[in-house]
Amino acid sequence: MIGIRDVHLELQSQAGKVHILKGVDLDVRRGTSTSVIGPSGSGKSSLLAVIGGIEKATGGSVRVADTELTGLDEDELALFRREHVGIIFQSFHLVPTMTAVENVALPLELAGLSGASGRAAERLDEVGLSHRLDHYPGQLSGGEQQRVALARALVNDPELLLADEPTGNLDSDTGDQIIDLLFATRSHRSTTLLLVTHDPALARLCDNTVTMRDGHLSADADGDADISAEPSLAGSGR
Amino acid sequence: MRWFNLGRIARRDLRGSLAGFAIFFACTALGVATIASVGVLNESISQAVERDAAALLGGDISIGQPNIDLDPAEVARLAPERSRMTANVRTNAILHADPQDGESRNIPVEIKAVDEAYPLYGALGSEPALPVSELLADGRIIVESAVPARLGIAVGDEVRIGERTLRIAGILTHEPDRIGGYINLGPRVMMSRNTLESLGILVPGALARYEYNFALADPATAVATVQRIREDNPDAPWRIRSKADVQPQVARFTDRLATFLMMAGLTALVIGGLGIGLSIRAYLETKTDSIATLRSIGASSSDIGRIYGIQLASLALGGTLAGLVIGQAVPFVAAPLVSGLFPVELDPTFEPLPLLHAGAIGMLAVALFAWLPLARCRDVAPADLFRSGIQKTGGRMRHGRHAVLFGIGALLVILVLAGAPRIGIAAVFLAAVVAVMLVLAGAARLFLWSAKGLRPMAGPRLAMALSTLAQPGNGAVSVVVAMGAGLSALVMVGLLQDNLERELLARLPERAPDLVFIDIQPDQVEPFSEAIAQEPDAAIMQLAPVLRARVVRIAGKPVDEVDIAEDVRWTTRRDRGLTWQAAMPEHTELVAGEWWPADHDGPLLVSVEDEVARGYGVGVGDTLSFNVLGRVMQARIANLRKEIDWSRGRLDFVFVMSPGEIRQAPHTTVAAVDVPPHAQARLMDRMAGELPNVTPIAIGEAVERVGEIMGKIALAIRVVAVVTLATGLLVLASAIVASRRQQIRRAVLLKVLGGQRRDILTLLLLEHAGLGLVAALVGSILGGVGAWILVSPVMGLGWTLAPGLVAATSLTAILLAAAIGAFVLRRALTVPAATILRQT
Repeated sequence: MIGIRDVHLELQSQAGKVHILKGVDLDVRRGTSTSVIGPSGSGKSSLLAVIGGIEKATGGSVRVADTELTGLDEDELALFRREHVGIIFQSFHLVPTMTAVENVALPLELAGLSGASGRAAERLDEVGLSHRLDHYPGQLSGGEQQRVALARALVNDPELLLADEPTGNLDSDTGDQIIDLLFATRSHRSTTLLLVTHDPALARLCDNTVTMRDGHLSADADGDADISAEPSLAGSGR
Repeated sequence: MRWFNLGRIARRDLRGSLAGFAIFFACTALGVATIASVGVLNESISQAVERDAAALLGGDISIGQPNIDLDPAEVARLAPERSRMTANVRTNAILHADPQDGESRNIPVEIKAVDEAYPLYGALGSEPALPVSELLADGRIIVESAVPARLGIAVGDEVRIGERTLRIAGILTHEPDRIGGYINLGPRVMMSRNTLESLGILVPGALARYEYNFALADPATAVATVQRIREDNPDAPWRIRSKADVQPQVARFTDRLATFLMMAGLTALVIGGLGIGLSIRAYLETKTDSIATLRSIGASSSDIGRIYGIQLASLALGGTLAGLVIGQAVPFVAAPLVSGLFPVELDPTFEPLPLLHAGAIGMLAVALFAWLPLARCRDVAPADLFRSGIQKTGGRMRHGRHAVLFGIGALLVILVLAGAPRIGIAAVFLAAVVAVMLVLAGAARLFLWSAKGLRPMAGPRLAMALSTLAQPGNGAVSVVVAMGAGLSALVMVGLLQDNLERELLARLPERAPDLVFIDIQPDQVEPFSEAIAQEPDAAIMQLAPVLRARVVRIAGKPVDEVDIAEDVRWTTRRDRGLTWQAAMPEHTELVAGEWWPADHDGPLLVSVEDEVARGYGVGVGDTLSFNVLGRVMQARIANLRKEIDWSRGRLDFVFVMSPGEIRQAPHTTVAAVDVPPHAQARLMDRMAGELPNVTPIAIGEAVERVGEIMGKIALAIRVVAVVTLATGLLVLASAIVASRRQQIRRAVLLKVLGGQRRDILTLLLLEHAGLGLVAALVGSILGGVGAWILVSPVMGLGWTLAPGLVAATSLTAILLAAAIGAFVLRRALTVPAATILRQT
């Protein structure tokens, strides 16, 4: 599902160039779940962004869902995401002026599909929010907002689900509920999951765990094995 | 389907944001309303003139001749087949009244004598409403209401004109064939032709105009008929016009005013555009996260462009439509206020074309200012959701986008010029507006740059205010440009009006003679001089022979075939007064050629005003031919004189002939007389008794009428200048709103660090007064320079700076800027620090 080789990412900051990813290799099999852990600023979220076609790698090769992303322009990447990827953010990133059902319907409407509202309502029902369809994000709790985000990420049945600290802004009970929901809906569809988290317990729920440290990826939580020495991180699935 | 979906997303995304577009909406509506109302008003005037053209001319075609009546056989020869005809004579006279309070009074009046067929078109309005034959029976007259008002008499009373006593039979309320609104020598008195002839004032050479108007069997053939008659009579002394000539005559005045007002509306729109740009930028900044989210779930940059394009286009359309509704409504309200300026009854109707024009300009102006922020929002990357501290999207603009911007600007200019009644004026105006905005933008940047340098020298509060002003991206440049442009317009109009009033209304009457007497017959010059001599306080300043003549050939070519400069074309449009003189008049400055010897008795020579000669494309040695009462006389140009300074109030003439055979032509004499106000009535009484055909013109009264018309025009211009300044203040408000979150955060941080409300208020006032000060300084200088250019080099009048006016306007703007700043940011003073800190 995911195959990246020698990926580099450099970004311009006010203080100068920042080298975020420094030659990362990673393979993820279709249908598996993988967690990425590591300290703040190690490049976890950037890796997720590169795999989702949100950030363009400045070097190396990124192949996701049989598509080589490095040669695509911004609009081709948008189309790629629309067809293959769902994303959940730590800060939910719902559009504040749209209701829950409108937020969930967005990917379908952008794809020009009809019946978007009906499908969005079904997804919200799946995450237990059928009674909150017409509520605005400001009227929902953090857990409810993240459930809306999950419904939006899954509404177009993506092959790959990317989750960036999905429980980072939630209390532990609500966080647990979201994680249960996330894994349940993913396994129901056999969606490949790549999860960025600080939480070792959450990481252990995944088939595989990799550690990011200062722009380098290692194979286990302790970070003492270099991924580039063992490119395949296939697991049995949860 | 996709467009429909994108439209739906655009609508949802806009929810709750409409309040932030109040300034955007107001700026668009204000500019469009100004342009639309001017367009509708001008179209209404054009249509009213077209509708009433035959009535305004007095017939489908009109043949007129000054001073000498046409031969009846000639009239019969010229009369188109199966046409109806009416003849009228217009002249000036003194009307004398002995009201019951015993104090007799005289006023100059304009007489119009008509026959029973009058009017061919339209209806004569009178009180009482009786048939013309009854109202104007022998010895009876009808007068404008000014006559009884000024003389203290009433309908039914008797008055005297010339040698006869006449009875006022009614009040003239509407004269269909009078292109009014211009300066008249006195109120109208209407009578029958027979009555006029019995007054004894129509002596040979007297200033009079004889007119024969025809209603054609087929009115549609008017232009062709005039063409045919002109071709059949190439050197005719009379002048023939069709109703099609009325429109251009009126348009000469209305088009200039309309163009000016339309350009002023465009200025308001362009200045408002800066506010529109700031509003859009602020709005799209709040949308960065939403845009990045949309991008992360699969929206392409084109989708983003379309979603926000749909939003802005809808809002622009809303503002434009509101502007159009106001623009269509204004003429209904304004028509009674400006009616005195135009010769027709204004009847505003729904005018789709000017509305369409104004609407298209409004939409394009919004597009001009929305384009770059809109193009930038397409660059928002989904990665922005993951980044903090690392540079977000933005950066360099692509060349293609500037090309589109240039294209929109060019289209706007083309549309504006195409719709302006006078392209030349519009082009100059546009260039001036762009120049003013560039100078203001340069001045603003210079100020912001120097603000950084001044910071170390200033006290702590001022230093903080300066650093806020110098901060990039805070809209300070837009604010200075917008407010400065509004102020410069206001200062310019103020100074212009002040100088014109000073020069024309105050100084001109001081320097000009108090009374000018016209129509003095050759044999009356001596008795006239004696009459003046008997009046102890009166003195003749100037005496000049005058005859009426029309330029018919320039350097041998018929006038119609010569390309004459617009600004001197008036000299060929109708008969003009010209004079002759042996010696060079005092204060004359020759720029070419020489004055003829005092005893010159050779071929006719002419001295021409330099500017007119240039406009004709002729010089010394070329010939001009004049039609003098039916006889064409050719004169060789002997010299060119420096432009006439009309503000000196002397009797002056564009054409001065050498004496000789021209002395034989029927002529009258005009005299300029100085006489103090208390002796004026007595002198006019004496003249009315001794020389009843000699008409006095009181310069004071004429100047008063000029003042009235100027006042109305100035009011219209001032309204537009205020609209422009109001737009500038709206831009200021939008700039503050755009940076409000940042400003409130700063205020809260200051509070946390121990700042009191007083400190924060001082800071806010200092910052905004600083912006107002720069705008006021530069705006006043630009407005002053603009007014000076118009008053001194263009109009050739004396220039006085009114520092009080400039200071008052500037101070008001500075205070307003400070007050608006403090008002919009008042929340910064009251909001508890914890509320803001919790949000971050």
